[in-house]
Amino acid sequence: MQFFGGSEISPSPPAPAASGNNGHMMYVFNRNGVCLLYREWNRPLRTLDAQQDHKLMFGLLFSLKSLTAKMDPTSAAEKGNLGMPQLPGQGCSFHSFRTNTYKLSFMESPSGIKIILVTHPRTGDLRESLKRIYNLYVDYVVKNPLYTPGSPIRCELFNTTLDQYVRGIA
Amino acid sequence: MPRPVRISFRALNRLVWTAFVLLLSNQMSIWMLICVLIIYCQLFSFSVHDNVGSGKVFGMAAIYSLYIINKSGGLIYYKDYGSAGRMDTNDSLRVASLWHSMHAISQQLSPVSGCLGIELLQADTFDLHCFQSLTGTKFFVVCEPGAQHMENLLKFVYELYTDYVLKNPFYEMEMPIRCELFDINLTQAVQKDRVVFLGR
Repeated sequence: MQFFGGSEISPSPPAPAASGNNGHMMYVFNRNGVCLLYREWNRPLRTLDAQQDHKLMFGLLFSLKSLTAKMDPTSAAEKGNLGMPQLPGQGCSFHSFRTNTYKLSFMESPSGIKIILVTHPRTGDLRESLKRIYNLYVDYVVKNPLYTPGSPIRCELFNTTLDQYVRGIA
Repeated sequence: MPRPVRISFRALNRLVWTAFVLLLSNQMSIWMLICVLIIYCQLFSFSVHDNVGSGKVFGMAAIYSLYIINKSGGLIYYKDYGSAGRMDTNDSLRVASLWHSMHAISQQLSPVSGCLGIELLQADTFDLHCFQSLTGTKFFVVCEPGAQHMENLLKFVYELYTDYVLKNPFYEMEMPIRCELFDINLTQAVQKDRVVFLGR
């Protein structure tokens, strides 16, 4: 189908470079919606200040989760009203969404830690990689005796390992 | 998915009978008959398997529901193609307007300029493909995870919408769609398999 002579309706960024700088940013939230970590590797566009951005991201994930829990076409069980509070792992969740400019991969651990990785739209399935990142979080943050749960992560070793790992996958 | 092997049941039967006749007239050994029987079984299981597979990917089973929302987020068309559980009118209206907002927020969060909103949402038990027209009408379809060619289906639905809804002189813009011809053609498009979606 042709629109105004163009065959492609949604312009997408150029194909990903071989590897290295296709990861855009990453968020880690705890179950109360506090942003524990925000890393950014390649973000030319910024529309909001950091705190508003984190709130908007958490709100998007929360609402998409209640949307998928309500929509789930495979379970006949009563799903309650839209926006019913759901425990982690309860109801149908989602693992990624894609727009023409980015792809967002999402993982939630049973304790409610949410890991969000934003990459180039043409990256493949990142579910395993997010599990690896969760393992890194357990190894470098949770096992750190100086870290108090629920506070923002300030751990140099975790940041460097994370940067290295993300450069390897995206 | 491999191309379906299209050999009719009758042709296969004829092959086996020919083998029997040849065996009776002593022109063929028992071993050749066994070979023919093995080929017969394999081909038959192939064709059965492929029919099931194609129905799953392209037929009714692949699509759970279809929504059309206007540029302000109001649901103007909703059709269910056999999803489990109940989604009443109020719920479908809420879900549609929630999707409209999520689509807008995803544009704000883009790290690169020029974002046009979510195209594909991959949930645990379904995929949601969304297509937004230049005027802001959004078409989205809920289907089985990994279903292919949904972009083509959505563009085809858009084509039907322009042909049978927008060109209908009794249709009021941004209002729920009640056009019989649109319904009929949409049902045909969803039921008809690969020829419609791949041939375009």
